[in-house]
Amino acid sequence: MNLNSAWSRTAFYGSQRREGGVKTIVMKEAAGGYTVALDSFAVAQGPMVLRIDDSPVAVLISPADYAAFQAWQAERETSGALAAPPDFEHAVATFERLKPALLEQYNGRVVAVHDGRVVAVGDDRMAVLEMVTAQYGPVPCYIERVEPETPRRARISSAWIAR
Amino acid sequence: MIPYDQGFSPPAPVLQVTITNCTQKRRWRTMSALVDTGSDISAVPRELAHTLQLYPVGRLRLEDVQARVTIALTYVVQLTVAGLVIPRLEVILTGLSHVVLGRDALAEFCVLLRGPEQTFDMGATLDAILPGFMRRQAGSHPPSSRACRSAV
Repeated sequence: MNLNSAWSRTAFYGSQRREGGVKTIVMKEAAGGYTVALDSFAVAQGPMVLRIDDSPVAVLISPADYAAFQAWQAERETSGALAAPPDFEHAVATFERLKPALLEQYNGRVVAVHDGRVVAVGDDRMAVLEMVTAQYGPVPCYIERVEPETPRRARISSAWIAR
Repeated sequence: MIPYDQGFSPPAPVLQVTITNCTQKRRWRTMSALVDTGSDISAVPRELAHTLQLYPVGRLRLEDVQARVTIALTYVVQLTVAGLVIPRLEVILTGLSHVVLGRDALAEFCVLLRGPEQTFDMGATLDAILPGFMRRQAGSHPPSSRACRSAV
């Protein structure tokens, strides 16, 4: 396999090794022309990382994996997925971190996590949200019932959710 | 009496609802909503998250008809439908252009579906929807074999 077109501005040579279960090729500058021999069978087995010194610069995947990635990307755009805001993700992470202790203290109850701590406790999700809003205003928070399996399950009648 | 929306196949019970940001009441939108007794939770179009500036408050593990489970964020809105206001309703976002009223919202209402006539009524109480139904039943002669015989 030849990578001339992608790496035409700098000459490299590569050596393959395995890092954390992922095949890695470390690229070094070379005086001569650039050619890297790659085993297409090996690429088909999983992603292959191209590194220049310590920095990963590209990941090679098989055409099949790339097609699957493109399909996933198209589906994601169609469904209009929204990324969670960082402060919401932080509140979720705080809940997950505190969960063992919360299960001991508030098992079955609803908590609101804001700013790295539990700020409200109650028995109804919307009532707890109202408590947060009344005390702090419309701040980012994560509302969850403290149960072994979270988040809770819900069924929908078709596959149109925006994940 | 509200006619079924013929844009669905088969025709479906659809009515107008108003979705409002709970904390910024000037941000609201009126749009069509599908009555969907098969959904555990209600849903709003994704665009509303932007236009109403909604913020996530929770998560759900959603199971679809193919038993696929995905994590979805939940948002809280105020729902106004059939003269009744639900001050805080937890919803998910969809790629659809209409609201979906799941059983969480429908638990607040009485709904009367007249499938053969392709009409329905929805209200906060039975009294709100039954008188009209009874009047229409009394006035229908001869009664259709497929018409609703009893409201309750």
